[in-house]
Amino acid sequence: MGVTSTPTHETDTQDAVVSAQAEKPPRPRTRARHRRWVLLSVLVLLLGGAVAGDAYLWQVSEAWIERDGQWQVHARSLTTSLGETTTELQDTMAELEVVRGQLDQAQTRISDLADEKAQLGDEHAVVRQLAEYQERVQTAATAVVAALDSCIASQQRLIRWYRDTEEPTDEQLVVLAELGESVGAVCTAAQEAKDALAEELDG
Amino acid sequence: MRRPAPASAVVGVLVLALCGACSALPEIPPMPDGPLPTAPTPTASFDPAAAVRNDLSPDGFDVAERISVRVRNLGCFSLSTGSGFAVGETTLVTNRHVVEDSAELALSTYDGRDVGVRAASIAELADLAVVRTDGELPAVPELATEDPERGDTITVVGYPQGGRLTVTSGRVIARTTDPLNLHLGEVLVTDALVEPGSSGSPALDRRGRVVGVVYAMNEAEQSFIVPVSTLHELLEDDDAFKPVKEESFVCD
Repeated sequence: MGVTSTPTHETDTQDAVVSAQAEKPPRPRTRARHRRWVLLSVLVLLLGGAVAGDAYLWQVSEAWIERDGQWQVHARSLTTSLGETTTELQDTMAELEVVRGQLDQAQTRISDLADEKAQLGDEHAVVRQLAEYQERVQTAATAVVAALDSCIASQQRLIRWYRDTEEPTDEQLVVLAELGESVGAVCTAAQEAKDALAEELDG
Repeated sequence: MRRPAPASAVVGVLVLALCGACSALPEIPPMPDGPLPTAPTPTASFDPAAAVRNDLSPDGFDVAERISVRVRNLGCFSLSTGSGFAVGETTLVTNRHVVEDSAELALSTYDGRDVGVRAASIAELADLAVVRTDGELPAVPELATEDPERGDTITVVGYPQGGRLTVTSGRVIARTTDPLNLHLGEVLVTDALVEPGSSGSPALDRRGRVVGVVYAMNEAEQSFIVPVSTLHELLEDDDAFKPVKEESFVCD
């Protein structure tokens, strides 16, 4: 308790000594203490850095865990959706195959119907042409019949005239000759028409 | 100064290094914003409408089939059939001998649709004819710019024997002068099997372009084709085709 004071002369003596030794290198003891201080500071800083790094990594880890959970949920959702889509795709592909088959059948049917229509068209054209030909033949035959009727009627009229006239005059004979020529022309025309028709029918 | 000064510098450097390391650390990855992807993103776009416009027909028939036309030549007490193909919306090409001596021409398409005939013209220098139609033809092919070479594959689409629309293939085996003397210049010889009624059928290359017109066959089952170069020359010549006289369409 009472031994705290230090003689003044001793302090002065020490200061004198320290000042006298300031120009000299620090003593090993002081240097060691300084090194410990530096080492301690470095360790503290490293410890601080390590703690900060741990905190950062911990936060990152937590964030990744949370994100991983979200992705897993989403991946499961996508997997389910993919499965449904794959099933729908397979169903659609199956339907597509069915539709393709139906399209092939429809195309075949269209081609068949087009061919049938063309064949019927050919037959119809031939029949129509034949009908037109028969109509022309019928018209020609009617004309031949009419000409032959006219020939027969003229000849009958000429026969009646000969029968009803016992003694014809000269004028009557001239008229009779003209009538005979006319009847001959009519009958010749009728004969020619008949021959032409017969030739057409034979051809 | 005294010895502790370098030690303080070391500590300062360490502090700065730690601060630098902290600042160099990446930020915590952000959580995804908005909805996550719900479906795979297609790597290529597909436009069904464009596909229909370019490659597909409304009814699924090939262009080669849609360009082909059946020609019925109703003569005076005779009927013959041939083939033809569109070169324009209302213009088709066939053989001269398919439309000659006709009292009535009738056209029908691959799907059985009838197309009226407005006029017909025939070429004098080749067994070719052009028929103008009243209605539009289903499809118009592209004409090749060059004749096929020997060995090239061709496809013939027509109505052999006046029957169903038929597609046959073969190869060009030679060039020769016309054995029937119907054609001025060389024609192509192919091994594509054709029959009566195939006359006027288009010969198509691999790309579906017209490279010739079938006009004859021989006993060796070889077919003869008017090359597309001749077709080009005649189509570009205004005087190459002479109209068929209307009188020839009427039977006496």
